[in-house]
Amino acid sequence: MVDGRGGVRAHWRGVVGALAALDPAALAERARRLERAAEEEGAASLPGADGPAWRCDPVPFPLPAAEFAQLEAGLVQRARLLDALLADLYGPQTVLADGTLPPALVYANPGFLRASRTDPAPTGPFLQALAVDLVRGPEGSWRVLADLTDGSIGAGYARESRRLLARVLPELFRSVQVRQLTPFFEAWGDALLRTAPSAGRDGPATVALLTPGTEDPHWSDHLLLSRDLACSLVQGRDLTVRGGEVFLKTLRGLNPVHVLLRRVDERRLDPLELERRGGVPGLMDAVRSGAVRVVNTPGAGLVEAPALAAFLPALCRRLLGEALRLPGRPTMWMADGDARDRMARQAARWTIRSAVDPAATPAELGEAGGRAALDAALAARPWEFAAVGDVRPSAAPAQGARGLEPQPVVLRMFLMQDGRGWTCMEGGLARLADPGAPVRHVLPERVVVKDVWVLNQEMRDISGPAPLRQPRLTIRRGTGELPSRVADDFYWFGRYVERLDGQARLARAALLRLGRGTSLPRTVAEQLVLAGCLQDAGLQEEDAVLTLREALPLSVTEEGAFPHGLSEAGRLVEALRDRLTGEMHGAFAHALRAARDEVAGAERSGLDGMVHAMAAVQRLSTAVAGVAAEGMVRGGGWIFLDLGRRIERGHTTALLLARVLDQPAVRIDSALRLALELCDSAITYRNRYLAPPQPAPVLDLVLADESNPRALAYQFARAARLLGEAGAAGMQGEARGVLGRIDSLVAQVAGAANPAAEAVRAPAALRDVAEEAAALSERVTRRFFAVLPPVRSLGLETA
Amino acid sequence: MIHRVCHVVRCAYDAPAEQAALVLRLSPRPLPCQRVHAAALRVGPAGARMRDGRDHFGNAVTWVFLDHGHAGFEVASEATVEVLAHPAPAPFSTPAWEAVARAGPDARDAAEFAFGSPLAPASDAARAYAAPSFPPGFPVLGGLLDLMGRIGRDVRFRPGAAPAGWDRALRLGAGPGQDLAHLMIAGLRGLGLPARCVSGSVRSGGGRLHAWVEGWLGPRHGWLGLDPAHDRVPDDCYVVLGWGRDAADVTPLRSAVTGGGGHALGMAVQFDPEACGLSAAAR
Repeated sequence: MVDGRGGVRAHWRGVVGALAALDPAALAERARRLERAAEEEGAASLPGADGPAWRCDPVPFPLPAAEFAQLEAGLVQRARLLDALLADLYGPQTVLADGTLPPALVYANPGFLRASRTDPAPTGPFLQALAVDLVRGPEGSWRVLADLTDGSIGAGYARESRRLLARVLPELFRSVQVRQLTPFFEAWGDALLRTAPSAGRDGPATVALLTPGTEDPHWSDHLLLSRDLACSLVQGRDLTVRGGEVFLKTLRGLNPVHVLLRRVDERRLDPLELERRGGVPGLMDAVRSGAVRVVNTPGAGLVEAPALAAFLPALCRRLLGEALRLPGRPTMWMADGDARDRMARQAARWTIRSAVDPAATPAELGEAGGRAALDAALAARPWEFAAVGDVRPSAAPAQGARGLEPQPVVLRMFLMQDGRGWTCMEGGLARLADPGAPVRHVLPERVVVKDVWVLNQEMRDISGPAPLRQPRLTIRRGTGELPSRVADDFYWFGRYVERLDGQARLARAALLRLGRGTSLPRTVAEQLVLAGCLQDAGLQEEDAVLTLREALPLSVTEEGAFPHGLSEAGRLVEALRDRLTGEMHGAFAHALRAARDEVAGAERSGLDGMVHAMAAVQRLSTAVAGVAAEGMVRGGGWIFLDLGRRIERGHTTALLLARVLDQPAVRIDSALRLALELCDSAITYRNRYLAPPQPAPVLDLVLADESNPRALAYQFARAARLLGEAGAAGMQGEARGVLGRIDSLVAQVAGAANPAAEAVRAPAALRDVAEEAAALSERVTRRFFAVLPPVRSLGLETA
Repeated sequence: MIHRVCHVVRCAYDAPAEQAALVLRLSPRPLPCQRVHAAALRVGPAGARMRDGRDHFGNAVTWVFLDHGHAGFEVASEATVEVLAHPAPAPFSTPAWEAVARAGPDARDAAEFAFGSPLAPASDAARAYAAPSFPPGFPVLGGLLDLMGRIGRDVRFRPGAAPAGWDRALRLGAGPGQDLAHLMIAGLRGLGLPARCVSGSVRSGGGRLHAWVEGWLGPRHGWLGLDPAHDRVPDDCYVVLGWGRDAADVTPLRSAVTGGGGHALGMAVQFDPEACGLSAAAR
């Protein structure tokens, strides 16, 4: 930020001026608001134990127009160079033949995917997207730290940082002219559509972003990028190759996919030809035939090899006939004798890295065995190593614990090509590096980012490329386009939320009784019934000898039912994030966090704390029900979310009432009261009958009354409607069949001479109903979610 | 010598599978001393989508996709191959092994095989085993023949055994051809000498596919076959399917099957059979 004479660099003045208007406390407050905004937008992922994957710093990183123009020219040249290099290495390999590049950097490189150098070869350019990490040295010039060609992270964060900053610190944008990011993303989206194979296609091309899923630390970035590029977010198991073409499995059937922007390791794309685990069998074949375009083409990671930096100047002259504009960090390949001599003379100035694997850690390099082991490895296989010179990134002000502090910054810039040329994003992502620690090649799992501002010198109109002519869309409604996996996730989210609600309701009823003491025989009997219910609900082990007082606290311990259910629900909310608005995701995440915190706290605060925790768990279900009712379009995801809740509630209510009614007829009164309590229907009963509980009216209310949302019949009536909407007429009939059985059960009790005796015979029929619910769930899974069976790899060996 | 050779693979699943994709390397590779007069590959069940091509190493590859439910598959590869005798150079006419090791990593057709690969890394242990065969200044072929003989004596060839890795074979003193080949390759790479793995069939091979080694003798003499399992330089009784860095690069069949449960997979090689084709069931 500061120039050599201690003055503030010109381009920082506008930003600094605006920030100076805020005192440290106000700035800290804005930083907190930024985090909260990220949470509300659903941009930050559900924080695990150690906080969210990324955070946005309130101070942007400005780049003056002239500096950006210079950087851009260098970056575009670099993209052209790497593209040409990949085309050569996966093609005629002329740079190996004439000695410009030593063969070891290709053949001993695990990133050299031989499956991409076949005949027929993959079609299209190898490189269509590129990210480059740079640092500015103390002398002010930029140096390239790393090229990222195998699915670069961060473009989504960059765009989201801009949105958040504009929301929380709007006054900053009034002080300077900042170039927009939107044109880059629009152009990128168009470029991806344009790259789609056109043969045999009549509808619009489909672009999808292929992600490993929620377990990826930078899943948020995948999600944000898929929104910015308006493409769907898919995982390997959503895809299948049939007849040489790639399809997405949806509820309606197979939908073709033409372009895959991958964020999955290139070695995990096709178990047939690459690593045996993960991926879609036949994907490489579809890449070769041109049926699908994978961006970047598998194998592009080859040029991430750290030692390559030593050869890029020569490669640039050889392949492009130009001098390399942007210098890399000082790099030596250790197979070179001179390099070993220099290394021996100036060991302190160099760091040893793998020559080919950018992600290799010092331990993997054999440093665990000590310096001697590394030296031995260096002597035996020098071609496996590179020495890189230390780079000290320059610092920029960032919000720290004590106000603004200078912190080292690494800049990441993004480029894409549309078949005519390369475009550099007029912005980027700066990240704070650990002062002192070596600068890492990959984005760390937790990262603080800065919005990069390219400043405009003068007003100018920004024009993007001409819009791509798209075939006219026909209006669609309904559920068909929903990927089967997403429907499955919605269904199970519904089931988990409902299961948690039922468990919390039961636990509360039990806790209430523990507070009262155990002297009355009625209380003892109720406790026995509740113990059975808790067993059914998975809150107590089948043959446990524990009392309720001992068993209930176990359910909130780390391995207990509640933390398990909440973490499953959390995982599903994450997986569904691209299907929820930021607001919905924020509401779910907030309720989940609150419930998780209360449950974690309850472990220490005893039975009283448990009551609070149960209330928090129940609020999660209320939040989900509210958001689903008010915010979700009645189709696709909503159908399966609600279906999951109904089937779960139908199943648990049937089991619950079977337990409660499994009594001698003389205890029918207490059983009926408990049934009303557990079905949350006591007040309704009182208002409706103004009389003590009697078998037929109670059973009508908790079993057959389709207007009571806690009643068994309501669940099946609702499930039948939902199944009808989802187009499963057969299953709709089955759900209706259960309704008939419930009705006749209540009618039998009402018509019996001794209703109490008849009521206590109901449990057998109710257990049948529970089984019907389980069977219905099985059929739903088979009919809608039927994910393909697992893929196995077979291989023959020679003898 | 002219061979009519037939490679047949059969796979039966416990339950029908939804889909299967196969990569086959079962066709003999045309070479200056191996002329392929005719070759045909048939796959059952009928209706499979097939694509022919060549892999990175130049081996013939067929990709097969069975997109519909099926209970198993069969592949029959039939070829008529003329193998010409190709005498090895006199050991003492070949360069010193150190010169070959120096030239290897930069030689266009050998560099790839000078570095370790997943199944045959340039290991220190294998290097220590191989080193006594290569005294300073010794001609490279002399060392190769000596190493081949030592492996043949130290590690008993057990055809048909499951490959367990070259290090285990060395420890146990026995192993299938693949492990013997990998031991030799790992040792040679440890010394910096390029070596590659060949898959193919031997006329007297007992109906099994075999794996052996090719060592590099420097730019003038190029590659020479070496079979540590039989301690001999392959002659015109050997039919080459293809080569790679190790056996994983030349696996005769690799497949990804969706569903199907367990499976029984088998392979047979026949020289001059009565008939070569698919069983009636697969047609």
